[in-house]
Amino acid sequence: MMTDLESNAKEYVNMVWNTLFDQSLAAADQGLNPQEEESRLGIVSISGKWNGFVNIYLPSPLAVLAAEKMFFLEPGASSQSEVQDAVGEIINMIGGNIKAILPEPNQLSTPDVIWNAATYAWPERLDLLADLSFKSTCGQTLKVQIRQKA
Amino acid sequence: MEIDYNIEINNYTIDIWNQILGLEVTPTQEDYSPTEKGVTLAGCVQIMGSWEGSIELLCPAELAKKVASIMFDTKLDETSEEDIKDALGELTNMTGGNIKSLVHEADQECFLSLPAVAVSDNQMHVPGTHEVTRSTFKHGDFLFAVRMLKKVES
Repeated sequence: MMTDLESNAKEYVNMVWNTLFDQSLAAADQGLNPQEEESRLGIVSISGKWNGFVNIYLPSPLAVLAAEKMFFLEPGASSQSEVQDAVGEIINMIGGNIKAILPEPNQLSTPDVIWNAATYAWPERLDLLADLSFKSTCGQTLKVQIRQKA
Repeated sequence: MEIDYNIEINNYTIDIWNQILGLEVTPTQEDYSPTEKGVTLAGCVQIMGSWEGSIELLCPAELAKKVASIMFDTKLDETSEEDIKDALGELTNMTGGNIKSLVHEADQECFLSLPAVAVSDNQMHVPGTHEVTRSTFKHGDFLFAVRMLKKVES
């Protein structure tokens, strides 16, 4: 059964995606596996009364589409920097919303964007509180997770 | 008085590497520009609160391995990738913690995130920030760098 945090997070991810791209997301049973599929990772850290991370995994083609849409670019015209900015902006908005329902006071960091998500090492001693998978209208899946420092 | 972050980072880095690892590092004017994928690790901690930004430690994988070997008292060829990332995360955390004490205002707290570590160059990007300073250090034949990035005011 979904926790309040998970259902709120699901709602926020949908809201942000809809706001940014005017598209809805469907729930997906299986998310992407960053070890198997080339993907980009966006992370924001929340520190204070609650400590942990909110992150998003986007498959590379979806991250490109997001940048093209966000910056009004022609297909194939996005740079790595624009894709990084787009991923950063998406997780910043999602994290900002999730931050608001976590114990206060807390602070949201600037986003980190990891180009090759498979190379990233999560710090130890984190509890995975939410692991949400979505399917975009183009059929690609994305994953949003919330991790709390144990 | 204006803080010279470059000098402060140099002092902190020399102290941390010497006191924790017993390694001598010296600031250098040489540029450390990781170009080959897979040979560099990037450690990053975020500072939040009255000052917002991040601190990055860019380190060749071979040097990070040596650091891990010393930190966890393991043989160089038996040092795991996990140990290497943990060691770099710990060094980044210590560096960031010292810098946090410089930038935080007396009446407003700053928070330090957990460290993030990614493998290879140009993998980690912090959108919406600009580089305040970058210090390069030398240890033997190795170069490594510490970057201080500040959030751009919107």
